[in-house]
Amino acid sequence: MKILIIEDEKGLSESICSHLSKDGFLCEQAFTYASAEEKINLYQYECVIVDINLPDGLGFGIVEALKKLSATTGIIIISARNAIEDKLKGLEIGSDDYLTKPFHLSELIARVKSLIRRKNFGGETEIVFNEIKINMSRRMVYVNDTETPLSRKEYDLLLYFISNKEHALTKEAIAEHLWGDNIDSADSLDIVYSHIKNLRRKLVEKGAKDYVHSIYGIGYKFGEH
Amino acid sequence: MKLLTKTTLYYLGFSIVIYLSIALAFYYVTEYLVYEDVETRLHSEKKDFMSFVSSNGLWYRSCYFVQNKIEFHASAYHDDKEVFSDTTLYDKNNKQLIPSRQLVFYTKLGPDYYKISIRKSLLESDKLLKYLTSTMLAFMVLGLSVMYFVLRRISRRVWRPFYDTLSKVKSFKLTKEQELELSPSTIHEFEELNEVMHKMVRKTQKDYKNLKEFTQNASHEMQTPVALINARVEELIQSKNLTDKQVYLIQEINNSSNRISRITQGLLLLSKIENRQFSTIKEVYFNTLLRKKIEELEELFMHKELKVEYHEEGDFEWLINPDLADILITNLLNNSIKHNITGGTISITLLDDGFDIANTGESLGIDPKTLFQRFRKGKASGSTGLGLAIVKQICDAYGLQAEYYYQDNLHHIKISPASL
Repeated sequence: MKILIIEDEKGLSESICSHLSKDGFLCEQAFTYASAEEKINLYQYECVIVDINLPDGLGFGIVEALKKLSATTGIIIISARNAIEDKLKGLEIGSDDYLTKPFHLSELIARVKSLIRRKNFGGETEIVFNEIKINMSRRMVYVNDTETPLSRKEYDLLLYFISNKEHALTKEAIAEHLWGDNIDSADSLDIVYSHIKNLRRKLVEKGAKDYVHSIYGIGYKFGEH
Repeated sequence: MKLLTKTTLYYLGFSIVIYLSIALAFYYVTEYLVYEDVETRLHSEKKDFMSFVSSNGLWYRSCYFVQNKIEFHASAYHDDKEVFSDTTLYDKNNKQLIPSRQLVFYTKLGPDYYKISIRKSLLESDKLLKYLTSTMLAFMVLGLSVMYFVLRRISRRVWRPFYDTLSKVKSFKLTKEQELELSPSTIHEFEELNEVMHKMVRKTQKDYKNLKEFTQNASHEMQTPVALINARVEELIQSKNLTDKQVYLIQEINNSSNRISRITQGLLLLSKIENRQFSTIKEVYFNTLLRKKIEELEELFMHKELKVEYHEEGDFEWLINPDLADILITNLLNNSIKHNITGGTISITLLDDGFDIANTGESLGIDPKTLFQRFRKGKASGSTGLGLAIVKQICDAYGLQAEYYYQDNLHHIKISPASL
């Protein structure tokens, strides 16, 4: 699956690229409007991540061009401009998501994956991770085919974990994913902990392996290792 | 004291002093003239008397029938002086005392010396003086009041451009990007004043704009580097076998960059509200909004074992941007959680004219007046110090006011329509 990252800040682009590559995506980078335009005309991408402020133009132009070229490509705008007008404009001209800088890489990955799922299967999808199965349309979780009722936050958490499997996640990134950025209280980190505890307990009770590993001082990692 | 009152008072004070001294001088001059006249006549009467006495040798009381006109008594004492003095005479016909002037002198009639007093009534002249003085006073009062009104009128007219400028400068708001429009004046000084005002306002506006742009640009430009730090930290934590020391360092970097990102976002939000970049305005029903927010934050309440009381005693609706209304409530509720004690209470009261959020918590530690300023932090660590500044900015932008007060061991923040 090919992804194009249009971002003029090379370091950031590189980080996004290396993160996505680990999940098996094939990343290409464009640092200017011109090179981005050239690339979208030459190749087909599953998903394009585009920054609005490029040295030689506004990313909105790329979004519009992309919509004409290939309607199935998912588009995520990343921008330092948090203006609601920009957000609305981006969504209006055909981008699928809008993420404001600074963001957590894990959040971007989760959004990319969710977007690709939506594009490919129209939301009618099941995610399977070993014995855990998530039915996206019904928001149901099964462990070894037994229904495992989860609260809304626990469900979101599990989905986020699976989208970022084998990636270390910071507590802050998890808290922000669950509550958005209007929670800046240190207490929310403790709540993350209690949600994770409950999620683990519920999954293990139904016979799943404990895939959540806490990383001392940093956060959590979901995966086999 | 108002300028007009002050000048009027000065004018009245000076005028009264001057008018009174004129009146006094006038009175004395008239009196002097009257006396002079009376005394001349007394002199001539003395001459008549003396010539009569020298030709006839003596004086008959009867030859001068006007009562008390001339009196003479035998006197052992005598000198050559003539003395004028004021006296009163009893008028038998009118039964009253009449103010008079008398001339006293001594002369020899036959073998003996006599003291002679010739009198003249001052009644006529007194009346004259009285009428003159009162007429003059009346005219003075009239003149004074006419002058007073004319002066007030003139002052008011002359100072009108000044008051006009004053009221315009008073109602001028720096945050609204409007020109200061002063009406031109024909008076040189006021024209100069207006010019200076214009210059000053333009300069202040420019400075203010620069400062605002600086804050905005700085926060804006910081977003990308912060995003980069975050991304790099996230990459870094993927590596295995990190030592404890490394983990600690990463944690510190992560916390700091998260803080920077929250601060810049807060500052950006503040400048956006200030710049009126939230154009949508809707009637927001705070009853629903509060209920929704309380529900959303339930986990946080529970986590800190907070008892939440919600009293809905009215309906509060306000024209405001819905996103900002959301932020307003979120910040206030977050605040009441953050600065609360474990097991404390939060009491939310909604009335017809606003709402009040009260929470238990430690003493403020800072001056309540500065509570709504940027970067004022209480004891709670990890806060950006912008939450309440944002609350205030939102309130200011939409005609609300936020007040802090402490009552019954609770910290209250009350949001209500701003009183004009």
